[in-house]
Order: sequence, then structure tokens, then C-alpha cells
Amino acid sequence: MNRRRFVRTLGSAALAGSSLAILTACAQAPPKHSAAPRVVVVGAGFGGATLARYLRMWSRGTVEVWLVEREPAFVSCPLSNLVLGGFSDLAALRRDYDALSKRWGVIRVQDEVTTIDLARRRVRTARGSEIRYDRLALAPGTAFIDGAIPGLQADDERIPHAWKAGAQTQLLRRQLLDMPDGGVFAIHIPLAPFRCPPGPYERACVVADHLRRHRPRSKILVLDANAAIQSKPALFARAFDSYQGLIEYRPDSHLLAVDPQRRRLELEFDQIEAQVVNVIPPMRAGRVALDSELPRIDGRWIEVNWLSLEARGVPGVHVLGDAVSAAPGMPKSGHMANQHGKLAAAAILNAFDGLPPDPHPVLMNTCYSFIDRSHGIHVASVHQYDPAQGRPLPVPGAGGTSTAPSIAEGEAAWSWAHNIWADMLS
Amino acid sequence: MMAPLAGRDRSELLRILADFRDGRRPATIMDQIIRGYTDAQLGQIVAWYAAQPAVTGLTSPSVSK
Repeated sequence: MNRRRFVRTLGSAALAGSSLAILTACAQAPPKHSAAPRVVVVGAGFGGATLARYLRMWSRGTVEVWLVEREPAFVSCPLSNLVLGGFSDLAALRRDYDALSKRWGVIRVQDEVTTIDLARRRVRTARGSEIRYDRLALAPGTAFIDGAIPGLQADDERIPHAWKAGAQTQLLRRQLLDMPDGGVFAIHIPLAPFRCPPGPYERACVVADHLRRHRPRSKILVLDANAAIQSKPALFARAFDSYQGLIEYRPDSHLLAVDPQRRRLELEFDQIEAQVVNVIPPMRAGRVALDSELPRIDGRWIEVNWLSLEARGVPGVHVLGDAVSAAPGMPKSGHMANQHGKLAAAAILNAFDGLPPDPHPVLMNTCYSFIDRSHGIHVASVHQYDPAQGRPLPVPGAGGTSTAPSIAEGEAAWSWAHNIWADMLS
Repeated sequence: MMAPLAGRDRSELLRILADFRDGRRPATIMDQIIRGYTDAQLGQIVAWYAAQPAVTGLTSPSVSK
């Protein structure tokens, strides 16, 4: 095994820690004449940025990497609920992409991929570029299903989703600040699967911490289309109780339509008017993955080969992160997307060397959540590839949740964020 | 905060992991995560850390909120 292979094998086995970043070997400028194999990565979130950085690192700069992302900078969705409570701000969650290009030699393109030509192995962009690839990796995250909720417009400012950190987060924060004491804040949660399973419940808790200090007569209605809390149920149920009536949780709340003018929700068995309404719309894979002829599950997510993260039956086209039809027990999380990025990087470099992917990949996940401004909780899992089922499965007896919220885990949540941002972007 | 792992002795690192796994070392997530890996995988992980140049003078990163 040469050094490159050795390092890669370890990478896929190792904990997702930033310690691997110690491995900083020689990033070089992309070669002038293109004998170098070229990977085009679409999307620079937790999955795509990790993939781009690790391709350059593990190939010691011998693979050319183009990274197409429409946004000028990365803004973390994890921790963005704290902004809603007034306990952090978006600037603390923003990172630029400069190190990927300057330190690692990733060719960054601020643009949006409009079409993929699988036969000619090219992508076309909104600004008219055509980029050839040897291998393509799509990490477009999720998109909202237009028209899924009658009455709700895309990025409706009267009923913000605040499910992509940025302007919508600030908008919802502003509406919560403007809410009168005694007002009702309603959150609607779509049927699973959706991005960040603990996120809606964390949001209720963090906003409750704000309201109990500043609008103590107010109320939060958590309207869940699901039959139960989707992540860390016992911990969140206890956290809801600790707010002593401020939070009311209603499972099986199916949303039929909204009236944004009156901030009114039409549920299957009820109608609710609230002063601030946050509807998290149903989601699917990002558009660029669904527009192409890749195999889908439920029409919404892309089916992958779990050894390489190639779309099933479409060699050379990898899909990772939230856009993937998840394996059992696998959340749509930033941490998991980071793990997908490393698995795909190793498989792509093996393929360029004419080698099969690692037959025993391991993935792991940790999702931290806040139950107020300072106390954190976690859920963790480890996923080993099961050759008989052809997909990773959670290891029985491994993983688990916190026993109770703690300030130590609130601090660990911040450390996790800083470490994983460094692991993908620094 | 734990001391840096780079350059530490393999058997020492394996002992720390075993202590996490068996509940002898206080933990929040490490005890849960470590149980998901095979002994061979843990061996690969500690071998990699042990092979890194030792780092001195590291301090806990300041975390801005």
C-alpha cells in the first residue's frame, strides 16, 4: 500500500476529527496541461467542500478539482437556531472559501449548474460556462418542494422557513423580536425525512429561552406532521416540559394550507392563527440532482451505491449529503455529509488508480442540539457497511444520546462546529 | 481538554480507547462512538495518530460565539 492509499484508508476509518487536518501535505496549483484527472464538485456545503478539500489533500494536488457554488461564502445551518434566540449571530457562523482555493488549489467557480450532460461529461452553468469532467460529484443539499403547501410561496417572507441559514434566519429573528408579549409562535414540521432531524425541536427550545425572559406570557406551538419527536425524543420531551407550558407539542398535525396574509395554518383537524409562523416545507434533493437522469427513491432522493456514493447505475457520477436517499438510521446532517465527502474522495481517488473502493467503509455521526442558550445534548451513531444488504447500518450497542443536558455539551457543540468547519474549509 | 494525540504511543492510545469503551474513563460521546469500531479499525486509527509528529504548545482554540 503506498502512502496515499494508506492515508486514505485511515481517513475513512478515523473519527471525523479535525486532527486529520494535521495532514497538510503539499497543495499545489492545478497542473497547466490537463493530463490530471478532473473532478467537478457541485455545491460547497458540508459534503461538497469536504470532498473538494480531501481530494486535493489525499491526491497531493495531482487531481484537479473544480468547485461550483452559487453562494460567496459558507453559512452554517448547525448552530443557526441560536441566532433566532439572540444567542449568536450569522457572522459567527460564516466562513469564506479562500483557503480551499489559496491553500489547497481548488478551482472555485461562483456560479450555478443548470444542466448536466452525462453523455459528454460536461456541466453547463447559469453564466454560460461549460465545464468538462472525468468524474462529477453532486452535493446540492435539499430543496423545498414547490407548491407542496397551498398558499405558501417560495421563500415567503410572511411565513419564513429559516431552514437555510442566512436572510431567512434574520427575518424570523426580527419577527420574533417584534412579537408582542402573549403572542403565539407556531412551528410546523414536515413528515420525515427532512434536513436536520433535531433542528425543529431545538428551535422551539432556544426560542423558548428567549421568550421566557422577554415575552413571558407568549406560547410556542410545535405542530409536527410526524407521530412523535424525530430525534432525541426523551431529551426534547423533558426540555419541553421544563419550559412549564410555554411549549406545547402536537404530533400528527398535518398541514393542508396556509394563509400568509393572516398568518393562519389550516391543519387537518384545526385552524391556527399565530403572530409568528415558521413553516418548514417538505423537502427533496437539490434541483441539480433531480433534473438529471439519476435513479430516485420516492421521486425525491437519489439512490446511491454505498461503497462509492455513485448514483446507482451511473458510474462516475457521485451524489452525497442530504440529497442522498439515506441508509437506515442515517440522518441528513452536516456531520454525515462530511463523512460522505471523505468516503467519496477515497472512492474517486481509488477509481483514478484503477482500484475498487474500500469494501468496509465506516461512517459516524454526532448531532448536538441546544435546549437553551447554553445547555447541549447529543445523539451519536456509527454506521458499518453491511455487505449482505449493500448499505451501511448502525452498529447495535454503539452510539446513543446524552443522559441529561449539560453546559459541557453546549461547549462541545461549539467545538464540534469549529472543528468541522476547519475540517472542510481551512 | 485532552492532550494532543499526535505522536503518542500506540499502546497508550489503545488503552485510552479501551477505557472509554469499558466505561472507565468519563465521557459524553467517546464511550458511545468507540463501541462502533472493530479492534482492527481502532488499531488503524491509533497507528495513524502515533505516526504523526508530536505537537507541543497547543492550547484550546478560542471559540467565538
